[in-house]
Amino acid sequence: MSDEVTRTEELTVGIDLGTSNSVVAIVRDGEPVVLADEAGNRTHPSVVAFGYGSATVVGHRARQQLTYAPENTVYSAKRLIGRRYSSEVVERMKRMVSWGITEGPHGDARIRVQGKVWAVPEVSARVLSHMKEIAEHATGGKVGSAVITVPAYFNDHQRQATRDAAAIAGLKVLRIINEPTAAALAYGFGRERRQHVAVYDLGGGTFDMTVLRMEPGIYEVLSTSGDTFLGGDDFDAAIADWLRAQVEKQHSIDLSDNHTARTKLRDAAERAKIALSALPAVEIRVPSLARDKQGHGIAVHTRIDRMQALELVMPLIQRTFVVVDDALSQAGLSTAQIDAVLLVGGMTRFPAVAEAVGRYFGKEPVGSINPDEVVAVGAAIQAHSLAQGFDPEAAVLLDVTPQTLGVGTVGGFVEPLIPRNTAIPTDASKVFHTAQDNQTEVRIKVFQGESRMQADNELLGHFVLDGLRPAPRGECRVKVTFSIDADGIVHVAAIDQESGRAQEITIEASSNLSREEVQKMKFADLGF
Amino acid sequence: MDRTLLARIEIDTLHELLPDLDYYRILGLDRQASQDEIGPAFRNESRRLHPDRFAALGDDALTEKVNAISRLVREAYGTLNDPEKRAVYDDELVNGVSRMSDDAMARADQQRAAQNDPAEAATNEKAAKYWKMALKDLAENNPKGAVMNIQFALTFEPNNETFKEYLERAKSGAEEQHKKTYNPYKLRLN
Repeated sequence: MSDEVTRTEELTVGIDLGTSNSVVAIVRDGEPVVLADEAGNRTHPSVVAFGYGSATVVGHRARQQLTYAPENTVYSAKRLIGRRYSSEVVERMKRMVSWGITEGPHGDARIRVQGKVWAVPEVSARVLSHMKEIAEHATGGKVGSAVITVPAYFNDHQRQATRDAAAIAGLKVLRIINEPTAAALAYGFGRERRQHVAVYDLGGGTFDMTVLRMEPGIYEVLSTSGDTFLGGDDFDAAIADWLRAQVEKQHSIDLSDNHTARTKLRDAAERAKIALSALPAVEIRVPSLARDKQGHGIAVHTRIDRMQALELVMPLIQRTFVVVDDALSQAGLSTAQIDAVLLVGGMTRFPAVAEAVGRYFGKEPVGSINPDEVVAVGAAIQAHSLAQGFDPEAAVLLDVTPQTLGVGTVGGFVEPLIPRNTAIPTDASKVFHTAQDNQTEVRIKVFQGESRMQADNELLGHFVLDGLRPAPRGECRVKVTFSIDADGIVHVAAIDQESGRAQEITIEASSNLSREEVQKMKFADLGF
Repeated sequence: MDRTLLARIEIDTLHELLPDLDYYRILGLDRQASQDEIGPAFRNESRRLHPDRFAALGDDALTEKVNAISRLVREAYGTLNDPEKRAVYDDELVNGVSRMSDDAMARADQQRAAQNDPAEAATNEKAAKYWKMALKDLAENNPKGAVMNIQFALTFEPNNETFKEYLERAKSGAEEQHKKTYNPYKLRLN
């Protein structure tokens, strides 16, 4: 392999920043390896505990705090990243978590713990920083840069917020890559055969379905589809709700406002779900859940078998296949044309999920991959390839944009500019002109999503072209170029057609953090 | 000679030629190439000169050149892989145009905009009255009202394509709005 140019001695790693768990991996002597912490753990809960002594605690130690201080322990923060406070998802999230969710200055959802408000990237930054420490401890080196994975269906806001999290943690991002694509990279490593691969990725909080065409030296994503609010958390919630209904009925109490009890039930549900992956039935015990009206302690002692669990989660599994259908039809392929099916994400360990996927595709999913670690391994392979000098043999990646990019038009409609599943990087231009005499500014609303109605899409921002030359209507023409970079992040540039000069653009109504805010949130400035 | 240097020379040469290359030449294809040959040619070029291969060199000028080349490769693929776009391009090519130029694109956009300037779409005076009301409904996010007014406008100008197009849009808008507010369990008293 060519190592002609080695710019720094710093290490570069791949990080799978998951909803429930995170994993860090590196390529060492040409082989990708997952890095373990001192206790030998290879996956680390994406949990941040506040108020544990003076600072925050992350990972396994934070997970332990979850059941006795749920209101100070933030989990599944990834489900909130890049979301607007007003979105329906945030409403649902509020009913699921034990900590507070509040509105930030950009209309973004933020986390409130112990009276203090945190931007979601600040919390994710702590998880990233923990991964960096684990890697440094395991290798004895210094980590300078990383490839970080995100769900393929993440939009611009969610990707940008993930980049912000890395900046806050002081980590240089070589590339943001999509989780299913990373899994395919890991699967294809050292296995160069032309084939169509389908990646079914059901993680803690999100579901992605990606179809790729693999051949020696190139990974080409044909289509991707997903649901960024469907994952293991929802399976846990379904089982926990069933448990809660039983307890409430038996003891005639209402636990809906009891966060400690609800967290304990959620925890018990998650453990039961995981145990059911190996056993046909499991006992659920929660020794001291709450107190009834007479002040007597309530304990839970019940049993759940696979059939009961399946009944509870079946609607969730069915929702994934709507997405699978969509991805295949976008790729123009039938199930018979898929050569290999990869299962990714901890939730695919659930036997009913794996069986349903096998039945759908009419073939056994590939058994040799580790669904918890494969994404980090792929990220490490990509990180290695980007950090290393020119290598004509290294495989390259052609990914796509998951959601249609468009601009707002009269009447609340959207005109699509870059259709979903377009190969990235890509760009598209549109000429805008003034509609009134002496108009000096043009406002452009940019959306991401598949609906023809503005209201059902994600508003990325208002782009304001100002300082236009006063002229009769239609005379002032500005060419606006929308580009999507290799990270899937949207950029906008404008040129005055008459003068050929770059036109000033200001962005309003974006829920992203400003550069100054990110700078202020950096750990060094917080006294860490 | 080392491989990085060879690649640099190729990129420099290709970048200099870029303004003269048409979509077929950048992909290394014949103008008579069959539709099946487009994809493999695109993948081959993408694999050879992918910007990621050069990322670690930290040479911004080189990166810019590779990016310009791969933009043209994708642009060529995007046009030639779509048989309809390819046909339009082939006509342009005969006239000596090697890229679907920004100007051509802008002209097309402007033409479309002039044709579609919704305020000017009505020619009949009575139709114009309802048409204006329909546009106001749309701007106020009242697709249901717009459907009614466009239907009135169509009674005076039954062949107006713009009216028809907007009617379809307003209908689907009204449907989506209805879906959002419709509650099958709610008691309706009238």
